[in-house]
Amino acid sequence: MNFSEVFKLSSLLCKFSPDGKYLASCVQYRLVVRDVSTLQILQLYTCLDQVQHMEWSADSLFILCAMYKRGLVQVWSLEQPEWHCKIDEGSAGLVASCWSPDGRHILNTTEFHLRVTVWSLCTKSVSYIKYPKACQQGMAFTRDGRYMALAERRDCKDFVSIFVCSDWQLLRHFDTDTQDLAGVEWAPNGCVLAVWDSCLEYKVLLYSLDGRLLSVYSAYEWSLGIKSVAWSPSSQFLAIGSYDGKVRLLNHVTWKMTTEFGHPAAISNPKTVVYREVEKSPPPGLGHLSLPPSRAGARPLTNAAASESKYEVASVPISLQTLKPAADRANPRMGVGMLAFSPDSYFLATRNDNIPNAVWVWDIQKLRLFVVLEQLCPVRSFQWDPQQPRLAICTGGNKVYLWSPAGCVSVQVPGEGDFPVLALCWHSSGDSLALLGKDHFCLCFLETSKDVGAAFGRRDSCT
Amino acid sequence: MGDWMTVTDPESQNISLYTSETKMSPSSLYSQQVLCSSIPLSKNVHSFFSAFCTEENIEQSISYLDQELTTFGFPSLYEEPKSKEAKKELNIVAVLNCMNELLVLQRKNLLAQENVETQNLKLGSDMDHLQSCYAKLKEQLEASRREIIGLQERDRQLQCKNRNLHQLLKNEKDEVQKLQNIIASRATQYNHDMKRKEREYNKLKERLHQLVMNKKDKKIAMDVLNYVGRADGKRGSWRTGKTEARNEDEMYKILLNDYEYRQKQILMENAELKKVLQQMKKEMISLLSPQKKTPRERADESTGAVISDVEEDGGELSRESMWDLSCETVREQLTNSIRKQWRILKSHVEKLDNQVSKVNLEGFNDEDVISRQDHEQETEKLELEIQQCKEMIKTQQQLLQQQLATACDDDTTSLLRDCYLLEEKERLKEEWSLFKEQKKNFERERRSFTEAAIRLGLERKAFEEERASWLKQQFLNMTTFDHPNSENVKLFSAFSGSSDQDNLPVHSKQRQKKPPSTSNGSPVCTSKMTKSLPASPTLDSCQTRSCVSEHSSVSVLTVTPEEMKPDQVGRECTSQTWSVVSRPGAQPGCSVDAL
Repeated sequence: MNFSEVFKLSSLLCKFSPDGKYLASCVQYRLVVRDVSTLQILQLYTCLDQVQHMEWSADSLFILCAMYKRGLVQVWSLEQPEWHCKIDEGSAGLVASCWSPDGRHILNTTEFHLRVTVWSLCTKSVSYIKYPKACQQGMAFTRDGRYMALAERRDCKDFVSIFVCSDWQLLRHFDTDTQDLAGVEWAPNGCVLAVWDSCLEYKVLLYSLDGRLLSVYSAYEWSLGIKSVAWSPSSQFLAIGSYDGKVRLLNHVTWKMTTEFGHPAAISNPKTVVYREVEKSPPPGLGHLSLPPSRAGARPLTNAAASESKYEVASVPISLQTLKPAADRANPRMGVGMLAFSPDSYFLATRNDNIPNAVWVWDIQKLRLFVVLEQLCPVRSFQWDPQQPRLAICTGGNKVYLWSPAGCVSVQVPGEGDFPVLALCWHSSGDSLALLGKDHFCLCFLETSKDVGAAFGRRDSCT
Repeated sequence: MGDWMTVTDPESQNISLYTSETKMSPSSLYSQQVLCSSIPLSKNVHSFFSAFCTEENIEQSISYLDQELTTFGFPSLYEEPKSKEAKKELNIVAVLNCMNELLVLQRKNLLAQENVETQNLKLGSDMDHLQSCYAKLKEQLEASRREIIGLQERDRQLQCKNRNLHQLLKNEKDEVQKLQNIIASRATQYNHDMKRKEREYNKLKERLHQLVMNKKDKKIAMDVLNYVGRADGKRGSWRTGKTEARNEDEMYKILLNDYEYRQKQILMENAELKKVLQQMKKEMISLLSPQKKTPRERADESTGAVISDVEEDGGELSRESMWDLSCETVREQLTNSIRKQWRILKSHVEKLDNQVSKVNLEGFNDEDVISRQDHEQETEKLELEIQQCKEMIKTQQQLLQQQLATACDDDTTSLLRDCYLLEEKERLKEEWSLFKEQKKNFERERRSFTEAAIRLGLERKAFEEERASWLKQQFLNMTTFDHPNSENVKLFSAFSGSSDQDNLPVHSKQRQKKPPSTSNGSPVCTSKMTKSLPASPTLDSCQTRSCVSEHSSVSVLTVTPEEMKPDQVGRECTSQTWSVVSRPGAQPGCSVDAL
């Protein structure tokens, strides 16, 4: 496992291009595009203000930089560096901007969700979509980029509009039986749309592409409901994480619950493997060795937070560290807030927000808990390798954690000073991983998939 | 009784005596007198007597005593007056008799008194015991009464509490209901307010939108160097009714594709499941049909299986063609048949389970003992086998090594050799089994031979006896003298010995080797013979033969192994198979079998 040198970064804006050739990152008002293999700077664009949002177009030809404060979007072309495009939303303001799947349209959401403006890069045409709903996830594109579902609110009722992305024609428009729609999400096959209600009510509605209601699911009433939703890549399962600390899997045939994954703090099943991160106490001789001035200068002593750690397999009847959520506050820290299926649909990684240090990995084939990783610090984010069942986790420390069915490793990010990893993103090939800190980022190159086993075998040398 | 024993101390006796005295004192003087007489002479008594009778009043006291005694039924102390004038004379004899009788009575009374006293004491102690028991029971009663009262009190309290709790629960329920109502009302209120606010918000939004749009904001614009081509290279098309229809078409196409894909998957899954079902059914049938037949006749096993297979094969074609149809009748048929088979299998398994449990319950102990013996035997056998195998392996290894040393380049030859070895082994095994069978046959033959020999011997014996009797008769006919039986026997034995020379050694040998039971048998026979001498010779011989045959069954068992052994060994040695199998490895087992 190798690490690149550290580069500057702001606002955690660092993204690989969809074709995997380039890496774009923002430093204040500058946009830097590098070659992934050499990390040489290929292009350097200067925006009008500090960039708040950056996105690659699907064909990796354009990059969008949004400056919400100014209501501005700037688009850069990789092929023609001199080409420029600036979209000004003016007094309407700007709160969100994104590419359409074809990479030739930009959808801007104005302030107060007055409308969604669709700007085309091909023609002068501008389309407006009125009444978009201000919600958690009000816009969703199918994976093939043909259709867009948009949540709307009119006359105190929720609606969903389905647009054809090629010409932004309205295909279907229907009201949903929700109190306060919170999100929409397409199944990966693009034929089923999941719509869920806000956390006040546990309700999931499943609509066919043609607007027919396929099924309604509600697990319970009265208490806080859905917190997160994820489709399995095979479209076979819909995982719903809720405030009661459970994940429910709906199947795609009957749309009934297949199973329920609880997240208890005490794990007693002996079949479950619990990996516990423990601080690695440095060997007693090492401290004395590093004390001589010649060495101390070369490698500054790290503080306690940056000390090395390793995983230990905990003996199974074990209780995890829990957080007591404040019941009198809004958005309590409880329930399953993060959900992610592995690309092969075999595993589901979850985090229960009142056990923030643990990542739960579920075996979807056997429908049971497979592994629990208990970290020393609260888990910030995790992401699956796009190519294989390999999970990368970061906790805001200077370490990155990798899990695969073969085992797990804790890798310290080398370099001077502290490098708290706040977020991470995988390269599409799964060979490298961008580790994003507050002001810096670096790339972590993993061994090619062939010698992954060797890498895990050498885990002691890595940690 | 224990109490009683402790009470009988001398002091208490005195007391009892005293009490009895006091009790009796009011009755009569006589009794007192009687009582006191038992006590050894004391001054008191003397003084008492002196007080009763003095020199002056002898006459009066005598008459008084006489009166008293007569009233008690004693004969008078005076002699019968011979005349009226004559003075009454004191009859000494009567006095003495009276005295004696009184003394006897006294003694009896004393005894009775003692008994009564002891009984009294006993009863008193019993009384005490009962009283204490009574007291105890009373206490217990009191205690339990108190307990009951306590429990009742507690029960009352608990009931009170329960009532309170019920009340509380009711209150809580009411509270919950109230709160729910409040929540509901608030929710409706909140929703209402929300809606109102949202409407206002929408109005504002609308207004804002108008304002923003109406201002003709020049800022709202896209500043682009030049328009780029579409990703697909096509030109943008106009929005017309046609495009709308095309979009619809495409959407339905996508949906249709999805459904088709899913249907295909489901069909595939269905087919797989059907296959599994079919196979399960087949296996069930093949599993069940022999099982049902085994108890009756094993010979039919193979044929039954074949028949069922044939049936299956016959149905296969039609069934496979029906799979694609997934007709409901076929489905029903299949599921029904599987259900039936399954039920049969289940019942069978249950039966087996029951049997197993029964066996476990009943014959566990006996079988345990037997199995231990069996186990030991088995282990011995297995150890022997292991040793043999080891030796075999060793020899094989040696052979292999030799072969390898000679020609290690060619793998195929070694493999072939290995094959030969295996074949050889097989052949040897076959020969071994053949030999075993032959041995068994030989043994059977041997047994029949020995039996025949014994029978022959017996017949010969009978014949001899017959002849002896015949000779005897002749002899008797010749000699007119009456001989004692014992002499006759002696003569007979002498005769038989002299007459049959070549038969003698065998006969004597048999007698020597025979256990006492058989040797006992022969005198019985002979005595019987001698007794039944007058009868006809043919009948007699028959009787003796049957008699001997009775004993012979015992003698056969004891005689055969020893007598026939050398003969048998010699015979076996001559046989060809023996020499073939008598390898060094197999000899010990063989010898054991032969023994």
